[in-house]
Amino acid sequence: MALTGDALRTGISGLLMSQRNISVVSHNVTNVNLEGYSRQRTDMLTNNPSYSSAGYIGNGGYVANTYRAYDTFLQRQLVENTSSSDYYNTFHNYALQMDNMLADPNSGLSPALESFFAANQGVANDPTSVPAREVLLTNAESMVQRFGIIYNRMDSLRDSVNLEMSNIVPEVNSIAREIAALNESIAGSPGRARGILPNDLLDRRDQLIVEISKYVDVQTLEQPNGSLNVYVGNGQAVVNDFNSYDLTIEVNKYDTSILEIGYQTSATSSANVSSLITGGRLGALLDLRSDIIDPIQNSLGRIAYAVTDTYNSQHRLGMDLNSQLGQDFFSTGPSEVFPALDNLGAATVTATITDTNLLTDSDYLLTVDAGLNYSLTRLSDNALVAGPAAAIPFVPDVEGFTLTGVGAPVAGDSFMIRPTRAGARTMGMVIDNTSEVAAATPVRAEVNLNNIGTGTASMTGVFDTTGLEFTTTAQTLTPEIAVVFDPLNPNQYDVIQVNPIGPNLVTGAIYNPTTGLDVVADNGLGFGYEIHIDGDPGLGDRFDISYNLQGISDNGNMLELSGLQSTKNMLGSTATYNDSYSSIITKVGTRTHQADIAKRAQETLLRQSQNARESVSGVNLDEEAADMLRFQQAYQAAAQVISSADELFDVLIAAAR
Amino acid sequence: MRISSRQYTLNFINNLHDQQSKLARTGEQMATGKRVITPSDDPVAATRILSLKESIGLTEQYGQNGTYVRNRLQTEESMLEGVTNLLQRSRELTIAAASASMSDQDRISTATEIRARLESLMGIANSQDANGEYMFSGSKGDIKPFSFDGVNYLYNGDDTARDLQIGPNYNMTQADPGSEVFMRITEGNGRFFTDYNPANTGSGRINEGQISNITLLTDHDYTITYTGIPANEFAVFDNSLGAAVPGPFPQGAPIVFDGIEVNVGGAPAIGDQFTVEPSSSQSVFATLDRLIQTLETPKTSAANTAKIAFDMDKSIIELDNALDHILDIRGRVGGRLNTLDGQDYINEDMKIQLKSTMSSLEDLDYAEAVGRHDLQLVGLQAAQQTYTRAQGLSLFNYIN
Repeated sequence: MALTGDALRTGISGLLMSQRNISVVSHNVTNVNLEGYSRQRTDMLTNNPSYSSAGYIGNGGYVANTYRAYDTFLQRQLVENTSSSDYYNTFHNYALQMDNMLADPNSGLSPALESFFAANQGVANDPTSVPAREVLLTNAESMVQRFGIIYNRMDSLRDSVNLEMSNIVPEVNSIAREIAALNESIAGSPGRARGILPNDLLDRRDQLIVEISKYVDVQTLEQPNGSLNVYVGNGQAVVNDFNSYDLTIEVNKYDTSILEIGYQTSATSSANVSSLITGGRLGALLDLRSDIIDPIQNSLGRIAYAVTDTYNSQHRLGMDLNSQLGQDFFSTGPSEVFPALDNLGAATVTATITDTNLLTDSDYLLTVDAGLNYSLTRLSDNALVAGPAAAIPFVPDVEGFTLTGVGAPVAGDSFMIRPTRAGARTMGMVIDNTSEVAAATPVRAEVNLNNIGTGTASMTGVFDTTGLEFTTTAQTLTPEIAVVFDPLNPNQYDVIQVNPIGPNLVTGAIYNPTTGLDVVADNGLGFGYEIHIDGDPGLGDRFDISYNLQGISDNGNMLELSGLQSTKNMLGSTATYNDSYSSIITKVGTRTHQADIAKRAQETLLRQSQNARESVSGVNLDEEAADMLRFQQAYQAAAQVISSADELFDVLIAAAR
Repeated sequence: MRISSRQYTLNFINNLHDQQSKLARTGEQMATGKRVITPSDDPVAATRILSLKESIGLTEQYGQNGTYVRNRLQTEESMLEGVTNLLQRSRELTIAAASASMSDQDRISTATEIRARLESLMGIANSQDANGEYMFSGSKGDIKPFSFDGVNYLYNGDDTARDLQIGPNYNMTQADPGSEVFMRITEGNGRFFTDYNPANTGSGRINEGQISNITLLTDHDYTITYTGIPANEFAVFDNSLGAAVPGPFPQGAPIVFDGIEVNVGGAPAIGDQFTVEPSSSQSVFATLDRLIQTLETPKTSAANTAKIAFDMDKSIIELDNALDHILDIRGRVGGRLNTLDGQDYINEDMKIQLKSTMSSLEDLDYAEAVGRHDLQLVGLQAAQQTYTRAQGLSLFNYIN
């Protein structure tokens, strides 16, 4: 009796084992395409044998555990590579947009800059031509627009960064909540103490870690109760045991149009953790903003300020078609200053650019310390560039701008200074009439027709038209002067006032025929122009210097303006406008290039780690098919055992009848 | 290595993506003909390309400026050629009219002809370009440069010569001011000129004089007076110093003082005066105008004939000076045109160099790209075929 009963029991255990195994196989087959699924396997054990005189008789077996094929190291590698890969992917996608735009002939600044200066040459070629002047104004206008277009494109990129950040943060929070909930389920799962784990829940949680790492770099720490704690930044827990903690979206303390990542430290307060966030899409977005969008917008603004400042300065030294002194050609708005939202003092600060040659592309932070001293920090490298000083403006100016303050600050107040960014946004045209283009030089030198010598007079340049000699009466020099050589003594001259008549400015000075004469400088006259007399003037010769009234065909100033294209008047006299723009392109190009290379490398690494994980944990259908056959056969065999036991029993009954 | 079924498909898809993106990139390169499409393709080359583009643009601009200069200079040159012809004809007429045998009537008709020349000369000097800008008024382009106020010929422009940039740091004068072309013509021999006092009553006639010693020249005004005492002598007075020049200066011998040597021929009356003044400049219009006045003056007396003869000689010298001056200007214009040709050559050469450098940085090697494209196409096809073949293989197919 014991014989058939044992065989039946053993056969049934075989049936059960095979059923379990077949259901594991079917679970595997079903989830073959589920991302993050780990194939499951069973641990099979034999039942305790029964002792008999014939020795220990086996009692069949049972499935002791169902486990997943899983490698902690490979999973961690996958998480890391996912975070890096998404970081570079996002970075590259955004950077590529800028890269394409900046060098594009239709949207880049370079072609607009070149057309503008070509139009300058056009006016120089034919100063009285209204069409040439029209072309200059049109090209200037489209250059101004181009500055605006690129600026706006950057702004819209920043808006997309803001938008994407505000989409990602709730997503991260919801994943964190799911992980916390899974932690609770896993910790409370029965059998955990005996090493029987809820495989599918663990897979799901691992997959959620992979998902969250697409958004931000995380560190995880397994707890004794089976929970997994998840940290971002330098240890901010977003999941701790069964609780999740939200990241928040905050506005920048200075510029409310900029969003930052906050971390809820209590129900009422949160800390800005933007600078701590690394990796993933969030990390990429934050880096893009600080490494690419901000500096480029600043650099672009710097070019706008420099073009405006240098072109205006030269344009004011010219004379227009109406014989008036040139006015400003372009206009730009003031530099941006943002007081911190939590400033307590009444101080307001204004930043004014003083030298576009010295500007950097950084933003600055002006802080007030406990002793009410001001300090200025350059944010690109956090270097202290001015202060501490009891008052602003700092003397001397630093970094090409000056700060003026009104009202009293309170200790701890701070201001963000953006000297250059507003340039491209606010640039506009002042001149709208072709006749206002100041192509001519406002001073003329004339060699008297009765001169007997061979002396010549040439215009060295006009440097300053704000002095009294230009401003006392419009369209005339006050005084108009003449250099008159003595009628008897060779190479001796007077500088006389012609209009209004006045005492001689210089009497009896000696002319050196080998070096010539710089009329203003050599005589210390202090006028804002210079005329050079050269050659061999004769006795009684006369050179008249007057306002270039009606000198409309002169192109002297336009040649100077055209020359600005090739003048290194930016970045401490090391770069032309176009050089400066090129450096932006190089910067973006290099970053994009780097990101592209890193992206490919990370993709390869990610694929490798995916492959490695799949290799261990993935389901192979052929393998499952073979297993299925294997367990099917075992099942059939066990069923046969039961059938045989049944037959044995029948034989026994029949024999006893 | 163990391969999971999912991994097999994923790897294939990744592979396909890679192949397709490479193919797309090669396709884009071939369509644009450019190796560097965005700066990130090659940031260093991209920056170089940008600066090369600017240089090419500038060089082309210099070329255009050169064309402007050339057109203007060629126009000036053809005008000056006209001026030369006018002056040459006037000179021939003057030499003919200087002959003692010419009647007053003949001289008046010569004067009429020269007046016509003067008028066409004024026409040339006051010409305007296509935009209505006066060509010879310096920077005062909308002011008629030359006018006659009934007594004098006036220049209303200024001395500004317009420059254009035709090369890096190379400006060339595009337009000479009228003062330079028509007004600043040497008087006399360039250091001094002689004249007579219109009140002279004798037939004494001073010659144009010559420089006897250039180092002694003073550029002073002198008056030479025939005093007749003692012994037919001349007295020379330095007006600039207000002092007499020590003599004696006997009649018949050359009068030599302060580096100047003049001769007074004929028979001066006592008290007749002649002057020696430092040369300044005069206009070609004044020269012709004075010539016309001389030609229109009838010969009535010996004194008057001597004055006319002096004036005719002087006119011929002035016309020679004017011709020399215009030729000189034409020479300068021709020189500039020559330099311009050279500069054009340099600019073109520069442009070719810049373009070839840019091409080597930016342009695609088509032969290489076509080969690459074909290979990538083959790769893609192979990947697709392998997948579809291998995809059908599964053990489940054999279980029934």
